Amino acid sequence: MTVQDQLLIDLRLDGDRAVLSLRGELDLASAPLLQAEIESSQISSAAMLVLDLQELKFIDSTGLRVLLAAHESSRERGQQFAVTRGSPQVQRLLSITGVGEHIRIISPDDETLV
Amino acid sequence: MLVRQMLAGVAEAVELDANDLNDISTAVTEACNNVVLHAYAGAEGPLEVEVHVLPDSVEVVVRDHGGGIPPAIRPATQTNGIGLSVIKALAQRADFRVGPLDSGTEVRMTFATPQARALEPFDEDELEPGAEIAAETAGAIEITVAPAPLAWAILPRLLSALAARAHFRTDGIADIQLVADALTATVPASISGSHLNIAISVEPRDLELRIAPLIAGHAQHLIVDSPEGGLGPLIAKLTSSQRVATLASSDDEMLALRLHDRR
Repeated sequence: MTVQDQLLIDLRLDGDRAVLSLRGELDLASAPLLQAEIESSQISSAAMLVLDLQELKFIDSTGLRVLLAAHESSRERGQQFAVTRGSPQVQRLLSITGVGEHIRIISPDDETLV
Repeated sequence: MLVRQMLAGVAEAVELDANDLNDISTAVTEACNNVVLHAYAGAEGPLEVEVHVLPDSVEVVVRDHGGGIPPAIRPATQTNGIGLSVIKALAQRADFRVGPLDSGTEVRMTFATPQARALEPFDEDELEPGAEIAAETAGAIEITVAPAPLAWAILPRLLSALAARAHFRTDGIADIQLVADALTATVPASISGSHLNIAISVEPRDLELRIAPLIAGHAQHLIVDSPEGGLGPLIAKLTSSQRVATLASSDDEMLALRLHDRR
C-alpha cells in the first residue's frame, strides 16, 4: 500500500472556510502528506480551517503533532481552527494526550462557525 | 502498517474487544515509530515485534538491534515525549530495556484483556501462543505463529496488505485471497508441530510466500490433484510457481509459492 492510499486528503473551500477531510490512517508514513497540504496557500487565506476527522480511522503521535502544528499556524495568522470528531481510536488519543482540550471540536454540520 | 494488520488478525482470532485492539495498536505503533526514527540513525534495520496471547493479557515486545539513543534517557523532544507517554497511558505495564552498546533496545508492553478468548492449550515446552514478526527490510517479513491456527487469522490480512504495497491490481489481490483461503482449508492438517513459520518477500507485482514446517511428503500434496479432491489444482493455477524443499534441520518440508500479478 502506498502512502497515498493510506491517507486520502480532500480540500473543500466553503465560503471563508477551508475544510480538509482526512480518510484513512495518519501516521509516521502519511503525516508529511498532511503537512504539505496544510502549507498550501489556499488554506492560509481562508478565515477558518477545519480538519474533518470523521473518516480518519487511525492517528498516532506524529499525526497529532501535525494537527497541533496546523492549530499553531492558524493561530499565528489569526485564522479560526477546529476539527470534527474522529473514530474511537482518534478520540481516545486526543483524550489521553490532552490535545482534545486545546483544540475546538465541532459537529460536522455546524453552521455557526464563521 | 503491517504490524497493525498482524494485531488485527490476532485480535480477530481471540475475539478481542475493539477498544482493546485500538489501545494496543496505538501503543505498538508508538514503539515502532521509536525504532524507525531513532534506532538506526535514518538507515533501515531489523524491527522485531512479538505478540504473546496470555490468559488475561496480551504482551507485545518491540525490539531493535540499533545503536540509537534509548528512549528512557533521550531528552524528551516533542515527538518521542508524546509517544512514550501514550505507551505508558495505554499499557497496563511498560518496560524499557536498553542492552549493552549497539545491541538495541526493547519495549515490553502488557495489556489487560480479561474478556479475550483463550487460545487452545499448548505444551509448556513449546512456544507461547502468539505471533512474532521480524521485518529485515521493507520488502521481506518473517513471522512465527503459535499455535499454528492463529496463522489463518493473520495470513490473509498480511497477504492483502503486502499485495497492495507491491502494487497488485484488484484482480491480483482477489487471487491472493483465494490462495490464502485455499491454504487455510488445506495446510492445517499438514503442519509438523505446534507453530508455523511464514516468510513473505515482496517485489513490485511479485510476492513469494514460504510456509514451514510441513510434515514430510505433505507439501507436494497441497499443490497437486489428489484422489480425495482438494484445492491443490486451484493453488497451482493461481500461483506462478510452486517449490517444495526439505528443511536442513529435519525431514520436515517447506512450501514456497510465488504469486505474480498478471497485468
